[in-house]
Amino acid sequence: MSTRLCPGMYRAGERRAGESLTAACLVKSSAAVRLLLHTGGVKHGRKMCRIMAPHKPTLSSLGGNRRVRRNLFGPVDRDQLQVEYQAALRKDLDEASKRWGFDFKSYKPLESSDFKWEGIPETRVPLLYRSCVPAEGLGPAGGAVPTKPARVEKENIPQTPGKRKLQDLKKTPAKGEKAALKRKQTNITDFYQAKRRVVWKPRKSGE
Amino acid sequence: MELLCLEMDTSIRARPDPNLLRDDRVLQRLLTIEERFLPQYSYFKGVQKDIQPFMRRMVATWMLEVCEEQKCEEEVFPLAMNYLDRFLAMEPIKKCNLQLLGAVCMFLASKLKETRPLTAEKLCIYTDNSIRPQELLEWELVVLGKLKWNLAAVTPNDFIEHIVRRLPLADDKLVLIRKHVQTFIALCATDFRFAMYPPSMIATGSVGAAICGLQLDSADRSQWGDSLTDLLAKITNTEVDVLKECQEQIERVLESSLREGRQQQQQQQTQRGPSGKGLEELDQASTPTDVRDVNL
Repeated sequence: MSTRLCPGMYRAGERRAGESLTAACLVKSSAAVRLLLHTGGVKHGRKMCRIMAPHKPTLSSLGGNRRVRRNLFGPVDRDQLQVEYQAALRKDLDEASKRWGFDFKSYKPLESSDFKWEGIPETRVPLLYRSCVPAEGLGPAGGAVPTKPARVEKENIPQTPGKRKLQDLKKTPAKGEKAALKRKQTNITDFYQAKRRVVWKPRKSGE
Repeated sequence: MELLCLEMDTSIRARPDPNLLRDDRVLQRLLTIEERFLPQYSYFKGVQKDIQPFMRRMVATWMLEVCEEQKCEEEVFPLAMNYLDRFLAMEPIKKCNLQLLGAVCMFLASKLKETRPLTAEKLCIYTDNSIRPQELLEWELVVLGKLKWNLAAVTPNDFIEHIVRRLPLADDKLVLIRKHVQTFIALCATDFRFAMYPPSMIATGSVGAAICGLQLDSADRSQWGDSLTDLLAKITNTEVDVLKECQEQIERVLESSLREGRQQQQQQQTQRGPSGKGLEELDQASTPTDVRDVNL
């Protein structure tokens, strides 16, 4: 990664009229105290005010400051951490199962449940809620589901082992292509193309 | 021909909306819901066995430094500390995982508040690679679950505009006051004694401390009518005595932080020797860091 110099990162030596009395707007933004040094703190009555530029330094600048980049409490026990993570996840899942009467591991409703669960074909839910794996056997509508591979790689989607596809819990069969298309979230392109498109024709990719 | 690129990646932000700031309902609503986001227990007396108050301070100081170096939005750090405290009030954690938790909390707060959030990789580098991005992402899920996905917590920063706009302050002073208030709020977030205080009280106390510290109250006293504290207390429905105590506590914390900073400065100066201090060095020396805390 290349270093980008950001000349405006700090402007030093600026002094404002309003702050002459007690406080000099400190100096270097650091630690718990980038504060309000009472005038005695800095020699020669020299006050510096570093203005933060609205700018984030690039990653490469991280290497420079060894003081911020540090390990606070010694090495992390990775295996133990993994064990604790799995345990925490299991606990969360158990609590959620109890609350919603749904077994999230097998993706099936629990027998004793306060809720009545009903399956919905994937094409009828917004993109966000669809499983990342393209659903097979969903009929012609299933093929039309745009699955962006980028979503799979998205960093904040954790990799849960043994993720089930949503259609496993499908109870009500899809009512065919037309119905599925109708329920799809509308795009602006839907309206632009509406005049030219024949209704029963399947949409082109990039809809 | 020389080409000069003046392009800066500034983030574009909305102007403060007078409809929101002048309407009392917004402030009242904030005051009503703020209690929901407080940590439930003073966790060092029960839940936590392995970690101690000074460790919270260490991780908080580190988090603040990361936020500052990365030029995060002001509210990212207090919000991250809110997540950290709420998590710690529920779940015992080992000392060696505290920094991971801190990183996760910053990760979440930054995603909620910033247009360009901190990346997992960056945060891991800041832990000196003691944690891996994958671990950060895994624990993000755990923390989210514990917080019940209630991330939009009320922070002291939410009150700043509401308070200062209800005070008779000159416009030219506002920028400086805001800056000082934000600094006080960050300072409070590093100190566990403030963890259970409602955000509105910390904000009100910080505004009071900032105005007193800048000695704006004496110059403009004629405008205040009642004393500054009374006026502040009225704005956020805080009791005057409690507010006074809070403000004094903030001032004490500031004082001790500055004292520490000066000690640090002296230490560094003696290490460096007395000769030739340029401005840059002087500036470096006046930077208080908690090196003492790091060398456990």
